[in-house]
Amino acid sequence: MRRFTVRIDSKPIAIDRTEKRMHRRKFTRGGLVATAVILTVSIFTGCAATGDASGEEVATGSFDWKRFDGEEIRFVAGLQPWQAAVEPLIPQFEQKTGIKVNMESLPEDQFRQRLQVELTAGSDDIDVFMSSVQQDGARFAQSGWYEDLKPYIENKSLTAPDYDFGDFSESVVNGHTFDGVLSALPIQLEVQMLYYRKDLLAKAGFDAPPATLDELREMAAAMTDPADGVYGWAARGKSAAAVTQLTSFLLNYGATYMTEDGKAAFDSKKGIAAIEEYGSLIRDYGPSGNTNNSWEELLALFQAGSLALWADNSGQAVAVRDAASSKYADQVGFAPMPAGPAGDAQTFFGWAAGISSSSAQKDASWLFLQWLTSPDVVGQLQDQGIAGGRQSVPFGTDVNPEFVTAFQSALSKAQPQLPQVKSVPEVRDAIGAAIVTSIQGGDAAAATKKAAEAFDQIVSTE
Amino acid sequence: MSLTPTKEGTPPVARDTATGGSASRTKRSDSKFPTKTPTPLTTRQRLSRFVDRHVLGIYVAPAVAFISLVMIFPVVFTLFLSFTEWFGSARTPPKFVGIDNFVQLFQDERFLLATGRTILLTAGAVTAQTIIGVGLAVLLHRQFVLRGLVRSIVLLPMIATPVAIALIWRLMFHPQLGILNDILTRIGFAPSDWLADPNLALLLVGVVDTWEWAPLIALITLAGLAALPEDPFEAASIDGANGWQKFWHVTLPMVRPIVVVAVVFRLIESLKTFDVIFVMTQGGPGFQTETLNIYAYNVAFQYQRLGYSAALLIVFFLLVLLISSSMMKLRRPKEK
Repeated sequence: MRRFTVRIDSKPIAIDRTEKRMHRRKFTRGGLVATAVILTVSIFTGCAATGDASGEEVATGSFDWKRFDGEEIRFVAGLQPWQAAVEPLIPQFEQKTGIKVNMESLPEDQFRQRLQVELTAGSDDIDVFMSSVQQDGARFAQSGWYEDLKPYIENKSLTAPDYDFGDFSESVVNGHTFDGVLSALPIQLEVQMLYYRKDLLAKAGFDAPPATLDELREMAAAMTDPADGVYGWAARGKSAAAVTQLTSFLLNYGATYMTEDGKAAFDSKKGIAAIEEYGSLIRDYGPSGNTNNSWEELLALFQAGSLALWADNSGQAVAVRDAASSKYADQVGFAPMPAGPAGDAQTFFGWAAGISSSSAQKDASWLFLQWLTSPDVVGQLQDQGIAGGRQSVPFGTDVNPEFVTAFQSALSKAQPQLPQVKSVPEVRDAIGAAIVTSIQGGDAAAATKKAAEAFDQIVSTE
Repeated sequence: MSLTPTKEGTPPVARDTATGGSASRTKRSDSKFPTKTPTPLTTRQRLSRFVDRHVLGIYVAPAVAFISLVMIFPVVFTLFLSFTEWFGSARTPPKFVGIDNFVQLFQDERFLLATGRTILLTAGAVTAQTIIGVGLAVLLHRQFVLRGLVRSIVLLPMIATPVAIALIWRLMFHPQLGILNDILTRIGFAPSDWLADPNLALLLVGVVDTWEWAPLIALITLAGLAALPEDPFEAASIDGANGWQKFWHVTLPMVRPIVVVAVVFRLIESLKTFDVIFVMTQGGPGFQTETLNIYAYNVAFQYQRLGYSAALLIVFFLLVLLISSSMMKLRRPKEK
């Protein structure tokens, strides 16, 4: 009897509590929904807010550097020789225009992450940013992060009469254009280049660097002497890193990465021959452990005197001639990449700068970007040996003349080092796997076919 | 239930004791409910009554909010992302693709190989760590000269920063500049490619992991050994057991629960190993040391394929859950 009453009595409380719990649960669910809604809305409004930013008034009247006096823009850059050289010049721009530039420089990895996070968020904090167009360009362009620069260049009110846009070579401009959008302008160009040791070459009885891949093989063979710690030849063997260095081999064997309609083409007979040649040169005459070597490792070996011939990008030129880090610095020579059986193509890699499509001060940003790529600034940088993208601007007289000759002759016929697809990093890994197999002496043809399949699969899902 | 009468004001809301609680207690708490006094309450009274009734909820709320924010939301968001395709651009929001990512995962050779490598590396490294770790613990448990100093030295690898350790090992393994090849050639052996050797790379990663983490198992086991009672050992001695028998039949069964905890720690950590691999090989040569974690990193941060990487991580999470929960079962001694 007693138990019975208790049950009756306790029931309302129990119900009361369940209701409360249900209420609470509903509330939590409501909270989640609200959070989701807020997130989605912010994503879309972010989209809308940035989407119609291009509707701003088009500047008219004559060109005037002082037009945006008093504005303030933010420039995000990665730590690079170019960035170090340009930073001290920025006060010139601030004086000239009255625009204040807040420059932020981060080491490359952090820079890329920071950039991606801010651009992903559609933040209007970034106005001008450094960007590696061959690596990230297509993906960034697909995400709509670049402002099209063409209208700015064509607008006589915004672009100085002496800017001389035609000075950028057509291939370079094409390399920076995605779906008709000129996304960025080159600020620092590198070409693949051959570094060689004059003393070792002379000792082996050669008086000039190799002009063809056959000569290269012959010289590498003659100079390789592992017992003495000298290797005749080196190039990057670390999978994805090696891809930029393979490109000249592919082109010089008459192959390309892909066809016009974006299908893998490097698994052609010529392409496989190029990948086999790249691998066997490294396997036969390169330092052991080469599949873990990127430019950092090879630079250290070259400076230590272990390498006779080394192909890498021209950004290493300053370091290999640095007497403080290498006792062979004065023996280093520079040459363009040797020709192959099907031609004498050269390759370039570059850093560029673009304007964020979310920027709130695009016109002022363009003045800054225009100044960064102007004949005047590029000239000041080339005096220090840092190559900009302009054809007519000479290097300074202090810069090693051999380097200048090699650089210019390579640049005149340079093609991009990476295939122009959206998923460049992923495609690099796939091609890199084939390079590693080739260096290891495995079945390069099969590995290349597999890489081509992966390439098509990756590109088809873009 | 264990509630004392002094707490009577709070329990009905706070605990689920209504149906399970003892009859007498429920009755008493009922009598305290203020249905008989309809006089209006001041705001203060109402507030304090509210707090009284929801005291548990109020105490717990900050923790719940924090956990929802930093744990539940990311997990739910990851789950959501795993059914989408997204490059991380606010202009192109995630595109729903159903279970495509998961279907693709199980056809993805790189994923399957990475899974195999992850399991192989974990199984190998944790087995080696357990054997070496328990061995070390038994050795260090004995009394000997300079025991404190030796203990500290043995534990050093575990204390050092993993990235620094990985960098040093990478230097030592370097084929031209590293000390290991220097030693090998000096004593008349052929130099090795070490980390660049596709057959050796994964093994070496496991060796470095073992070198670094065997001391952790030793440390935990040592604590377990120190807490063991003396009696069973005396009894074993009286029964004439030798050293090995004592170790195998007395020590080991008694420290087993502790060792299993240490092993589970290592197992979970080892499945997730990132720093050592990333610094030493970055998954290379080729993909020879690419484990699930490295692959997930590449997919998310190199390829910007956030949806696919979320799907990968969900599968990875289930794998870790499965392995660690089945390991925990071993903790309970076999019932006979």
